[in-house]
Amino acid sequence: MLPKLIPVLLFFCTNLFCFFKCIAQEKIYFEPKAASGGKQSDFITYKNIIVFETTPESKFDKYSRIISTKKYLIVCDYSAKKILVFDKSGRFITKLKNKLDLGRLTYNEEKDRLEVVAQNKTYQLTNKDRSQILEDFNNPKNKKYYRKYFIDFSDTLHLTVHKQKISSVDILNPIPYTNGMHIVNKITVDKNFAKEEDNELKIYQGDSLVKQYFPYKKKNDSRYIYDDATVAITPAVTTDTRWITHPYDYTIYALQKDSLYKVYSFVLPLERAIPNDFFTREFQNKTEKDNYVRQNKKFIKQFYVFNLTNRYLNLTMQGMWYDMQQFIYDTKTKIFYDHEKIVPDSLTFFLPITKNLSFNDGPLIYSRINAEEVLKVFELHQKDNILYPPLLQAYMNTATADSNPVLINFIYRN
Amino acid sequence: MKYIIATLLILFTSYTGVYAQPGTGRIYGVVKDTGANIFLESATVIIYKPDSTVVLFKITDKNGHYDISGLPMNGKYVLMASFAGYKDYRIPFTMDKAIKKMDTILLQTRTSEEVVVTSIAPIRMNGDTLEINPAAFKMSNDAVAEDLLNKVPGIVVWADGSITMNGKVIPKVLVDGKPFLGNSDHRIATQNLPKNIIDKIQVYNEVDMSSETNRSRITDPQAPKDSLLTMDIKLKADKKNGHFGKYGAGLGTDGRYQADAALQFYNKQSSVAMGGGANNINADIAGLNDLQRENTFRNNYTTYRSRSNFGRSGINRVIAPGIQFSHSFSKNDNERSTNRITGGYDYNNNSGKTLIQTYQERYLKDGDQLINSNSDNKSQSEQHVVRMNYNKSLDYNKRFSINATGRSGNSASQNTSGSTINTRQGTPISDRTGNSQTVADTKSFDAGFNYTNFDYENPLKAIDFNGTFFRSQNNSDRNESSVYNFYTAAGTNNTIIKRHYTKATGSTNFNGSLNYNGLKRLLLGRFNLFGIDISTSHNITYRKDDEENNVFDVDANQKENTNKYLTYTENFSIFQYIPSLSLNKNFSKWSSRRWSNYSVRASVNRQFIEEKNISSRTNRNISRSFSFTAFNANANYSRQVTDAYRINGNLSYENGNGYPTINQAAPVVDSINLYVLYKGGLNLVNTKNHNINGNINYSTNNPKKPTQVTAGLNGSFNTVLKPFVDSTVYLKDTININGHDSAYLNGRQLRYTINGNRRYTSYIGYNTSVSRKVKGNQVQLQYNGGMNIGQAPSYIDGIYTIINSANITQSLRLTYYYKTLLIAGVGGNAGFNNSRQTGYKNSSFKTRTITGEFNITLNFTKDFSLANNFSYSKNNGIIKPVTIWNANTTYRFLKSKQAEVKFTATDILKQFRNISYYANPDGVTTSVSNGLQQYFMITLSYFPRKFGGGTASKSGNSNRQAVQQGQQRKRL
Repeated sequence: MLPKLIPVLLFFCTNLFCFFKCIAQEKIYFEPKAASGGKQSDFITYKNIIVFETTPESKFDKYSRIISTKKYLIVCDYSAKKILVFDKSGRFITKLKNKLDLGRLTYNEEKDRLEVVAQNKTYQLTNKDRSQILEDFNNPKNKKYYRKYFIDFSDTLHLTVHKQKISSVDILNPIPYTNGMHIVNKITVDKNFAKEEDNELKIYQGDSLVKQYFPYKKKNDSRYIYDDATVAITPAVTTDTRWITHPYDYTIYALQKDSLYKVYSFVLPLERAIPNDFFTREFQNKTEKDNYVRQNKKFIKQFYVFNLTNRYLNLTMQGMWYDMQQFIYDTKTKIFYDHEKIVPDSLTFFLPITKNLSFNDGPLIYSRINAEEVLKVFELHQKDNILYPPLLQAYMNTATADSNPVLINFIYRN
Repeated sequence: MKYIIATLLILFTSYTGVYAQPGTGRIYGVVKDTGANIFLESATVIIYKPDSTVVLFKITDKNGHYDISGLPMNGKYVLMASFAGYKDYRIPFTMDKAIKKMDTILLQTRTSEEVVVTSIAPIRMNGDTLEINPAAFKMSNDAVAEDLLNKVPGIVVWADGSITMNGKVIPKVLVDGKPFLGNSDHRIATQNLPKNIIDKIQVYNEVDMSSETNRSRITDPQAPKDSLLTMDIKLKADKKNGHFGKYGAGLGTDGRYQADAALQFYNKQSSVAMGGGANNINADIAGLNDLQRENTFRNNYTTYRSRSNFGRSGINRVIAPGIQFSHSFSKNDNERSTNRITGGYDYNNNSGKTLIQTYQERYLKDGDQLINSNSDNKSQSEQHVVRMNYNKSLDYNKRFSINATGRSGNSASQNTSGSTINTRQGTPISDRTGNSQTVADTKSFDAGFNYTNFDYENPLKAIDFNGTFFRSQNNSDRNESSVYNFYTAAGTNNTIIKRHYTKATGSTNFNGSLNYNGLKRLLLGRFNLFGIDISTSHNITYRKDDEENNVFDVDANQKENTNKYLTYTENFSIFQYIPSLSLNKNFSKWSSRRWSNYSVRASVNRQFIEEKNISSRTNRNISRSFSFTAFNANANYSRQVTDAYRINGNLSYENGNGYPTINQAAPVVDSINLYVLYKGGLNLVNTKNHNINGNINYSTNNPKKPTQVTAGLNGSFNTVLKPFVDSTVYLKDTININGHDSAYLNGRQLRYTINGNRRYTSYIGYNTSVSRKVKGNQVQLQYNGGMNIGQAPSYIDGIYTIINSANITQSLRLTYYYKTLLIAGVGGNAGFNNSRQTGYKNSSFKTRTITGEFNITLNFTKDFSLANNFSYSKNNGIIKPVTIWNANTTYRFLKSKQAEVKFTATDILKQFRNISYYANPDGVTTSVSNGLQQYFMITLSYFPRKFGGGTASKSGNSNRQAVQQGQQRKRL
């Protein structure tokens, strides 16, 4: 079967490569103020709703992270330090023990495991300590600062927390990639570093560095000094492709294996684009940098990209002062739509679905809407005789503002 | 009476004409999206005049609804509705009905091809910052920043000048990123700066770096942090320099006068303020800052402001000029990065005459005594103060400041007093007349510095270091004479004492303290010690006092003979070192809606004291060493639930030690006061004290709700073991009546200091306030109460006596605000004191005080206001209650409203008397003093104002220019 597919895959990859290379030549002028709007139902088709069961034990906080595994929906509640397991219909299965250190969570799809690397609380680390440890990650002494554990979701009978030995690479906060590769994306600048230069994006195969991109000055790079920054890595159209965006560059790259291609290059209006003198400015201290950031809030720091369909991209634009704006980019018509101007309508039950993207499962996209918001919509449109799906109707009738949220799954129209 | 009639005439004349305002109407409607037919929340609806000046505006609510009132009838307007991403909608209309329902506004989405038209939006959100655009508000030329803020939805400027946005106080108001004129009181900016020189006003949240909790979380971006609302008033580029101020002078009946002047100059980096005041209406002037605050251009929103202090004894005259400056060495100086120097000079000259009459009832075992005293005091003093302060903060973590103050002053006073002591039956026991003249001069200098580094990225460098130096020199010269008569059956004993005192004292004090928060990192490296922080602090104090006393007895020939007992020299020095070690543990729980924080702290310190007194009086040659260990601990809890409530509580305990001062152990007894001779005490042992304090506070935390509630409960218990107490012996003489010796009290007493058994005080206080605000109306209800219970031991004639005291105070106040147009308040206080003595004589004394107040301020227009204040007080020592009525009215005139006339009437009913009534350990005392009496005053003021290149009134054109520019852009 596989040999037969090889030519097809080769053809697909070559085309994809050409596709990315072709797009790379194009500059896209993007005026955020001029982005369009419309009715929500013009963009999406509602598919289904999942209601998370609410019991005293299964309640979770608004800012929890939801991860979809092969069989379950996993909720990582950072405030209560707990992991809750729900089945795909939202029925509560179990709670993994309280007071878990939810440091860095990574879902390993191949092994169907949730892997967690957390700081060892026996030690108190400053940001500077963390940077020093990162620089010397191969030093076995540094392993004591972190702990690692995993939860194996393939073992449905024993959903327990297993301790695991930490490796040197774990300290680097690696993101699992394809063929045993992993990506390191943390950018740290400190005048005390020994190294003069480093790269923002590094691809490792085991402990060996395979490729690296985006060089920066490790001691005093004006972009990253007195700041936290990372390269954003998100899944793209094919499993071994990732969208890559890095700060202060309005280009969207695609990473295929260890190769990086420019795909979209955005040109922003003068009032939103970071000026050239920023790249050579010497900030004397954190306050000076903060002042610059405050005074230039409008400048765009970074793009984040998320595939909606082959045609639509979800673009999130982060300003210097952490404010976010979300847009949909139609790669076919080259039109931008502003999420703020996409108005929920009766076909989408007036729920703000496109604004609340959570995760995707292939073309199916999940939007998480909190109980408070659902109830507000319900109250506002009580007299409009809207025919809600039975599950949603039941939820609206019984939920309180503290109830667990709902997941709306939908697809984008092509 | 003629004054009352004149006052009433002026006040009632003021009312007429005020209500002659044209009728206004209101419009309402909804804004919807054309395509989806949904209501649009947060769309802006602006009402323009045909010449495009903004009249009013509103932001639609969640149902797309708007409701705009206050539109003058029969006017022609244009309604414009706008919403991001939609085409603007305009419709002309005439205000032909009092209530007009507008057609539903349907906005169409704008396609990407359409050109974005810029219009002047009155307010908008830019990220997390609210931006207010003054050019979009049509206001009179004399409007100031405060007037503008009152027009912005959600922002309220309160009667006391404080500003809130959506119910949350804005504690920090800056001008171009820094405190205006280097002064932290924002009213100097908001009540002076014309609206027309402001480019924009920004309101945003900033992490409160003054909070220790926040600083400890600065490296944890996920940790919740308290934030402060901050307002930054950005001036137009060409208006960053200017001057403004006020000159005012008033003349009144009964020879009363008042004059104030304050003038301020500023540019981008520097400012100078100068001014002064003079009055004889008992109005204290606490330096130039006080004058600046009282003399702003728009200050008629205060509840009732009359600077006369009727509670002050005597009639006092004050003259107080001053000057101050500030300079920022950096053009980009702001609150987080400062490099700024401020300084100033203040002069104060005070003179006064005070007459006090007291009547004391002393209940004694061997017969009650009644003491009548009077005192006539004339005083004059002057003081010069020069101060300087330099602040530099390199970043969030490192701050450095130095300050220095020099003072020089002199004073002179003359006092004549007299007293008589009689038995209750009226038999005279003794009387005394005395007078004294004192001249004194004083000079002092203090300087200090502070360096703070709370950089949590470098725990080893987390240090806080303070140092202060103080030096003072005082000289005084006093002549005092007393004539005593002691009446006995055998005749009158007459004693005359005249003394001349000269005294020179000098004091030098160094203090240094160092707090080091990096001890854990230093000792344990990266080991977390279960999250417990360790810190240490070290405090060193050295003080050296020199004293030279020369006392001369003046004989009948006015010859001065040295009094060898009272003439002595002394050098006193004390060195104190207090090292301490503290352990602190913080933990918190948070979720999207709730945040709870717990902290526990315990510390132990050792106090080492070396004290040496070298005196020419041998019994005062004392060298002592002490060392004490003290412990303190406290626990804090706070919880905050978004859109619900905040609660915090604290419980603390500390112990301490005390030792007798040299004056308690070996006093120098001056026999010029024959009634009370203080003997001190030998063999005193050290005291030990224990203090427990606790408090819990609750407040609602939901700006969306019209009702806000706060409540608090606090309590304390303090006890001293082996306290230093008085042992009083009432002296007796004997007389032989019919061959029998009979003893009688002669009015004199000896006082010794001894150790008592235990003294304690306990307190419980409670307060609650409720405010409700609906559409410009606000009602505030405040209730405060407290209860003190205490027990103090003493000895009277060798009998162990305990004085149990209890007092209860209750206060209730109701205030009503209608925007800034009407402020009315009514309130009352009640106080009950009970003092019960057991042991020497079982007796109890009770005092009861009830006061009430009603005030009303009407600001009919921005230019005309009237304030009235009525107060009532009664206590069980005063036969007739006292009612006071004060009033004032102000009127602004000239085109630019730069002139003001003010009429003040005080104590219109002419009832004021300065009377106090209080309980002593052995009886009760009533005191009556002279003070201000009824007077009327007319004050004229002028406000010079110039901002940027033109005058304030000229700069008013910028509003029209901005609108015209907007129109031109639209036409393009």
